[in-house]
Amino acid sequence: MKFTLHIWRQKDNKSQGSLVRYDVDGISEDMSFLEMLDILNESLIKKNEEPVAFEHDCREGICGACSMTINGIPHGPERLTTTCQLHMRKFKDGDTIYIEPYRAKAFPIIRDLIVDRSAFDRIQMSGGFISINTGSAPDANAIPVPKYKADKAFDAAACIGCGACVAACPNGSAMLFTAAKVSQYALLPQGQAERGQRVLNMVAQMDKEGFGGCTNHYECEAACPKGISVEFISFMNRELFKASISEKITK
Amino acid sequence: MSKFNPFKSTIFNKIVVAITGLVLVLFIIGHLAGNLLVFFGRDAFNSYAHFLHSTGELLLIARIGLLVCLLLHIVTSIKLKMLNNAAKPKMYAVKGYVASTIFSRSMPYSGLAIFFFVIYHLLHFTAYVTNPDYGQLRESYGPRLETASVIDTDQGIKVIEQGGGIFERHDAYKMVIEGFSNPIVALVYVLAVFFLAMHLNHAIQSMFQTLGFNGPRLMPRMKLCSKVIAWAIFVGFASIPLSVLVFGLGKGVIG
Amino acid sequence: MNLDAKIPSGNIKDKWDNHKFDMKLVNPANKRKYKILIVGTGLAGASAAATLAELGYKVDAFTYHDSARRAHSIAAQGGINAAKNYQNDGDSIWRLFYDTVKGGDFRSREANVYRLAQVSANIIDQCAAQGVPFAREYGGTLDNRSFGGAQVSRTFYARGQTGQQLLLGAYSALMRQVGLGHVVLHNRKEMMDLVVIDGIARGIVVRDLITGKIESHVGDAVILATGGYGNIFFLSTNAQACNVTATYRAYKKGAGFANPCYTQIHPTCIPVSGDHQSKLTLMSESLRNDGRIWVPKAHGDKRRPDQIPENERDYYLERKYPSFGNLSPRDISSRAAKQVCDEGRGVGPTGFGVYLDFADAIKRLGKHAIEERYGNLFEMYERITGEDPYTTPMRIYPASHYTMGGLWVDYNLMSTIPGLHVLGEANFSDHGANRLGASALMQGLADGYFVIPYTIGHYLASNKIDKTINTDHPEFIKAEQDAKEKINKLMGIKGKKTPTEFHRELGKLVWDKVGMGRNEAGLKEAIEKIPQIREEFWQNLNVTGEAESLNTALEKANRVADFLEFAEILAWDALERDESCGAHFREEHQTPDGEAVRNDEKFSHVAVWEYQGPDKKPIRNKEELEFENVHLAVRSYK
Ligand SMILES: Cc1cc2nc3c(=O)[nH]c(=O)nc-3n(C[C@H](O)[C@H](O)[C@H](O)COP(=O)(O)OP(=O)(O)OC[C@H]3O[C@@H](n4cnc5c(N)ncnc54)[C@H](O)[C@@H]3O)c2cc1C
Ligand code: HEM
Ligand code: HEM
Ligand code: SF4
Ligand code: F3S
Ligand code: FES
Repeated sequence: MKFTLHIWRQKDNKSQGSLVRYDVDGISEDMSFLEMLDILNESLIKKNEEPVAFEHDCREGICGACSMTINGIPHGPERLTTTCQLHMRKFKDGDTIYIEPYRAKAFPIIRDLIVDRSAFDRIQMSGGFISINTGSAPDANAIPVPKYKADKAFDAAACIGCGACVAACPNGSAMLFTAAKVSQYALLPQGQAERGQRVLNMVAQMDKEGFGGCTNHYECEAACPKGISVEFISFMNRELFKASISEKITK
Repeated sequence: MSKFNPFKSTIFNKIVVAITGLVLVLFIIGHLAGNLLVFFGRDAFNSYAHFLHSTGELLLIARIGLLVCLLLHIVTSIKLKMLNNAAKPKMYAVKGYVASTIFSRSMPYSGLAIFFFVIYHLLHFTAYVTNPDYGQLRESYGPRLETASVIDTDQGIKVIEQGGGIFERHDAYKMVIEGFSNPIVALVYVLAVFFLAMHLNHAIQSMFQTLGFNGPRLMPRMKLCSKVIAWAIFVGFASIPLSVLVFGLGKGVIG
Repeated sequence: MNLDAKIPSGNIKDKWDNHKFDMKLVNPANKRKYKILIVGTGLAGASAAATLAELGYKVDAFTYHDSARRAHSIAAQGGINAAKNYQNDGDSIWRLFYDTVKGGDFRSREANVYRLAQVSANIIDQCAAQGVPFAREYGGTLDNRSFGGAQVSRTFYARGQTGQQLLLGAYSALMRQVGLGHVVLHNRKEMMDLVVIDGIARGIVVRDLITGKIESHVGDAVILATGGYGNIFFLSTNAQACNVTATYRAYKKGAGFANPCYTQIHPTCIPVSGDHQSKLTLMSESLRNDGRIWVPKAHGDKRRPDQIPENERDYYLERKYPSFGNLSPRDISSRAAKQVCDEGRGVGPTGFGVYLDFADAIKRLGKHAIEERYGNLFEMYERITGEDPYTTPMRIYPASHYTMGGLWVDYNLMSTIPGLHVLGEANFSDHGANRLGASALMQGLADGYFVIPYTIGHYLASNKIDKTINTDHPEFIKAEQDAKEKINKLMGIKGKKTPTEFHRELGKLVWDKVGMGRNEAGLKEAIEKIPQIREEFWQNLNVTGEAESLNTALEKANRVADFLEFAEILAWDALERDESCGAHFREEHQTPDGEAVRNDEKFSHVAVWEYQGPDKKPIRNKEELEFENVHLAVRSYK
């Protein structure tokens, strides 16, 4: 197969970037999208040019490292699929493909297709945990968790922190990511003690990072490779409302 | 203890938009119901309009409440929009939208269109600035008199023609029919309620989502409801100017 | 080389408890005076960093990833073992201990394994309390599944994403400590060298992957939790960035490297489809709970699977190992697959594949039940191969997956360099010659949550550490210099071949000659050819771009350079271990029906390699293994 690629090249955060055209040929339909980029990069090195920098690691759709916007859709056209799991058989021979980095103010570009997603770490840091020091845990079966709750918590916990939700959202909002984490802990009995503080702190940090607000476009859910539902956003809004009121009352 | 400040929070701002939006939607539905009385004749419509005006302070409070909601709604949503634009400084060279709709993406624009319409509409039917004579349109009602006479009322001496009612009120019915007889005005209204429907198509389900009433089973139903209500509102409102323009509704009555 | 394992005396059941009591403690007020450098934020590193910070130590954690959450541990699918006996099916600490020693083909240290089994139960408690959403029964209690090499159900899981959930748990604990200011997290920093001063590990030199700057960090102890080296085969189930650099460079600074030849080949991976392939994808071992493995009986049978009648199929695992069947341990299953493919009975376009068939399970349980259990795995398979496993059997083939070998550590997880501790897959400690499924997660977390927090205190309390040393020390300056020179050398070759080409070439050689089946001639050939590839690498490599910026080709070249040296030790180790044991299969040592034959007389020891200088053959040292509690036996799963 043959493709015309337009790839965003940008030397570093300070430089201006632009779309550069590359033609690739001899692509097999069994290749993953990243393997197609590998081929391009090998050929660039051979021509003494710098390879396209992109982030990737597990190539199994679980680490959340791979991150690029393919024809305007983070992780490309196939639903519930990360870029590393996207295969070229989903494209037509001769297609023109635009490849851009995730775009959002809170995700500054580092180089080419690599962006800085450390804002997610800081959101997690602000409250995405259950404070339990090692050694102080009760027996795992001491606190039963209803299966449907455990399942629901898992649905939220499946988030791989890839940032596609932010990249897809016309507002650059991190609501889906934050909501997934907030919901996971709010649904489990273990997460109750810090429930209110957690949502307040995480949302405060999310706003501080410069993410936009949610206006319910639902692009995030559609782009999310793990199918995290926007229902969790609704859930988080409720949590936030409850927590801010109870904080006002109890203080 | 927490670092959370509701006034800076995008979520809280959005909740403000949703709650004010809810009030506005309820008003619109009520307003539509009232306006549909136009099809039940001059008396029905004017009675309703008269009733509203007779509520006195209540009307004032309602108007102030409505105005505050509208302003809050606009200011907050525009503030959010600016924040959201700042969070996405650069768009993609090609953008593939998957789940968002033309309605969701055009909210500020449909909103703004409604805003301009409301100003016009108030100048038109409430303050009579565009058509100062609308304020003078009167309709007499109540028990009919056999002969013309002069009677003494609370409001002073009144001359009543033969066949006229003993009371008099503003003839909102005539105002509406006359107003919509002008094709340009009628089309402006139709266009405006089209924008309104576009706004509400997204807004109603969005409001529930924002306020936390949503779930996997609720979501598709909400989306459907939102569509149905929005376009029902469109049909309801648009039917009035169109009936006047196309079918000559009320022309006979107002003479 | 001093290989005293420092195993506490006493009955195996009491060793760890006694040791915990005997070890010196650091006074709580003094803990914050100690700074511990931790390289790696996978399960082992993140759990250690969080726990040590909770105790009050100052911790600096390093990872080359953009976030601690992306460590390779995230990819583990199947589950984590623990001797909880929640299923009341006869499990116990002793049984887990026994299974692990036996699974490792009697090449692991009893005391370590027993401790691992002991703390396994605490791990599940800790993780559940952190909010890890383990699978549950309707009553709200934890669910279990079975894994290879065990006849009890002791594996805890979170759908097919157990590693992810456990890592996110450890990551959340770590981020809490970062937020509290107890841990400084250095992401996108790759360790280039270990700094040893006066014989003890005192710091590291790292390269900032964004700016390319080389920096030094000094600490009172260093912990490596940098994962395994399975990527030496180029194609493996490991993440792309997994490498041997951190442990290899520590080895060059004097840390002994134990059992490098113990590399595990996982039986259930999606077969290679072409040269473009960058990695192989694991299909969780849990699939073997319900899938049946078979090949056609006839050689070169090219019929579609559904056209091959039942009596012309060979369910070879069920045939050869009736009691464990499709759940036989990994090394055995992998080798059996290789055997049938070498006989010419392999399936798929390349002939290197066997069927993993769910038809019977679907008939028995219904498609829905199978979908519930393995839905996401089936989807992944379909995405990669374009075939629907509900209707056509999956094709699988073994692939490099895990490395039991690693830096040698004593019972306290300290390497032969005092102050340098090694956790998780990076050390060699608990799995002997073969790791059982769902035991790596257990070991990484045991090391990080429950072992190192005790033993590092003992080290710090019993050694006087020179507090005046800082990064101006000549050893730091020299290590920085070396790192820069190495980078400049890589940048300066300006040859013709890319780093990936060399990696692929090396990988192919190592897979063919030092892979699933090894023999003397092949190993010698590898030992001869590896230096040739290495030589060409240093003459004909091309790295474009600049050293002082984000440069992915340079990162890769730097890692491949170490693989090219390390491969030789791997081959030496495989050659000199003249027996078959666990995952190390020497074709010279097998029974007529292809089972591994151990040589306990000569090889019941850990081989520990000691660096001797560039281009010199390292010395092979031995730590003898003593078995007082389990009986050395022929490992049988029949
Ligand atoms: C596909 C797959 C499935 C698996 N499934 C299971 C399973 O079901 N059950 C099970 O028990 N085990 C499983 N395993 C094995 C298990 O996942 C790993 O052995 C284990 O997670 C290793 O953890 P770790 O903390 O030692 O290392 P890793 O998670 O590999 O972490 C290594 C860390 O070190 C850092 N690092 C490495 N080198 C450097 C350097 N030079 N400088 C700075 N940082 C560095 C990395 O950034 C990373 O943070 C599986 C493995 C694979 C490949
Ligand atoms: C007058 C000018 C108006 C402007 C500029 C405006 C603008 C907006 C904007 C930008 C939004 C946010 C979109 C979103 O959150 O999805 C919004 C939401 C909404 N608007 Fe308006 N609007 C206006 C008038 C109205 C009117 C008249 C109504 C009622 C009939 C209304 C009802 C709503 C509702 C219900 C929402 C949804 C709130 C939510 O999603 O939580 N708006 N509006
Ligand atoms: C066919 C469509 C419409 C008709 C016939 C109509 C008619 C009227 C009339 C007659 C009044 C004056 C009531 C009075 O002063 O007694 C009025 C007021 C008003 N209308 Fe409408 N209207 C229409 C559509 C709309 C729409 C679409 C909106 C909003 C988006 C709207 C908002 C208002 C408001 C805010 C007032 C002022 C209410 C008040 O006086 O308190 N109208 N309308
Ligand atoms: S919510 Fe989905 S899209 Fe967003 S970071 Fe998590 S996995 Fe990625
Ligand atoms: S796309 Fe954006 S607007 Fe909300 S629903 Fe998703 S965050
Ligand atoms: S590379 Fe890990 S999710 Fe794509």
